[in-house]
Amino acid sequence: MKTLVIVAHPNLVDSGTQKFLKTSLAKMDSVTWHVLNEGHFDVTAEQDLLQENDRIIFQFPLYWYSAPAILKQWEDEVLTRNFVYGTGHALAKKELGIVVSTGDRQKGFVAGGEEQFTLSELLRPYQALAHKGEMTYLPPFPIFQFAYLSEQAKQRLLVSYQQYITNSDFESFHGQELWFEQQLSKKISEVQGSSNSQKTAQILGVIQDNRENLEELGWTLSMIKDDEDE
Amino acid sequence: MDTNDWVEKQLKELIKTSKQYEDRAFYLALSDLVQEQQKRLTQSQGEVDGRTWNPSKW
Repeated sequence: MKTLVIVAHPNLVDSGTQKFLKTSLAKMDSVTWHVLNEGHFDVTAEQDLLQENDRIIFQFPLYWYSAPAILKQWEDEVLTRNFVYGTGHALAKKELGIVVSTGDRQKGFVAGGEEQFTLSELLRPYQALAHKGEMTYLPPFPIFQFAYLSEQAKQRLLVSYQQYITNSDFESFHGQELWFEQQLSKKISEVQGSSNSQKTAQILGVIQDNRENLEELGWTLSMIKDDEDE
Repeated sequence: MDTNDWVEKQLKELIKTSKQYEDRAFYLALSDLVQEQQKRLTQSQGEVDGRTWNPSKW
């Protein structure tokens, strides 16, 4: 799976959050980091880039409950009618994900709360766009008050973000298990021969055993449940 | 020592000794995953036992 991360941030160099996210992906395969810069877009090149990828991510800070203007400009110029839904359906079957950061508290994004609306409601235009283009809309990936996160919370965020970008099945626990196994295998091949490589291989073995045991228990349970239904 | 306990101990060690930030983050998240696996294994095994013990089917 190939992922295109479209970054819309008017002041990218000063953003600690964006720097953190970019570094998180440094060793990930099949990811293109694409920053939107001011000026006009080369429509053909942008459309080609979209077509080459399977998962498209819009990544931006929340400005007045919306994306910075440059993303809208990009949408208006690049997402032409025929490209998205007229004669061609160039984005059909691709996925659209949103990585949105905000300095406001998570607690506020609820009916009756400080912001009054949930992020899912505020991000509706992207969901509508995905729908129009016959894309699969992924649950958004919000980052609240990055600067206030504890060190461990930041580390957990890093791995969840990596999965949002690179794991084709990040939503299911089974998909997460497989992703961790892949990443661990990659690490084993990187450190081959060192004292850690054997240890890491043993850890991988235990995780695989756990996953297989869980799968078996799942089958047994569904058989018992089918039986109870009769 | 239980295998999963052994894994958790190894992961704690890797979190402490890894030089790269991304590696430390990875092993922390992996340790969360192993704990979740154990929780799910215990729950699923419990559910299988509970559902198998069904006197109405005797």
